[in-house]
Amino acid sequence: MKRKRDRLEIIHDILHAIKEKGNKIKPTHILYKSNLSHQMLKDYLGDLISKGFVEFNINKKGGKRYSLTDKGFKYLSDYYVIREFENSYGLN
Amino acid sequence: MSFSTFSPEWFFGYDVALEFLFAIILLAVAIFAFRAYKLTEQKQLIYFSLSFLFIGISYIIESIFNYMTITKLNATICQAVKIKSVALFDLMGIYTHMFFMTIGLVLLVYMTFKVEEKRPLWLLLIVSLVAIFFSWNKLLIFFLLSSIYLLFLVAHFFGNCIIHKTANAFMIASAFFLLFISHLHFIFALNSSLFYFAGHILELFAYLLILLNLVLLKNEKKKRSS
Repeated sequence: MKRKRDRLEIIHDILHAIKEKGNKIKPTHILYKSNLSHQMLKDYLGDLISKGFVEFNINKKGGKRYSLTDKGFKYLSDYYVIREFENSYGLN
Repeated sequence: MSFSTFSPEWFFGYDVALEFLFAIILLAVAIFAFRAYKLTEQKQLIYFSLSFLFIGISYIIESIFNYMTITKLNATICQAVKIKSVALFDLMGIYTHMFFMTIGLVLLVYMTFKVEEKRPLWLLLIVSLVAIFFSWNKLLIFFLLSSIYLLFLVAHFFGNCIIHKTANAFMIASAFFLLFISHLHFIFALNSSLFYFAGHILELFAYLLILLNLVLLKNEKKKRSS
């Protein structure tokens, strides 16, 4: 059984899912890729948008899309370093 | 009396420089942990950052007061602010160093518990500070307590080593082991100045390991950014 993910890992999975889809992803695709419930994803996305990691767009056809901001890309590049820092000191 | 009282004469000044270096390294790690906390909002990181900040502040205070003792600046300051006893002024430095170091170590130990409850933290803090400041031999009790906390931390970090099996985890575990041994040396430094010197050298190796870990992490960050 897969261990429970912490907040850092969940945010990484969401941002990574967006990045993998060419930085434009439908809400349902994030739901499948991030392996979260609808409500949890909604809460996390709301938090990520308010903190400036993710932005929400509506394309010409009216489709909803999420994409990463520069801050979101920075989080992904910092994730492994922070994870290694936490592992060094046993913080997780 | 300041910590320099326990130093051999030929080591005067070197201890000031080393303590300042230790403070810089600790503050660098504290800042790194704080930035990680801003990004992740993991509570462990803020406790960790605060603990390193307090320990860093304790070394800055030790460095400043040792410098003032060596250069006789303490006597000048006492005259200027009308403190009658230079020994009392020096004691303030020792007590402030012990205060901040104790808070830092207790926070670090509390962080390893991984509990939400704050009461164990307050209990540890109060009991530690009361034990130190109400004892007859404050320095001895301080070094004994700090050695116990460091031993606890050594167990935590070596346990972490077994889980993560990385060079970085081993570096940190080794660093804290050296810090534990250095604090044992400071207990004996109360009677023999050579132990004061040895304690500082062991601390130097410990903090260099912590610095190396930080540098390796920053290099990893640069590699991933490029």
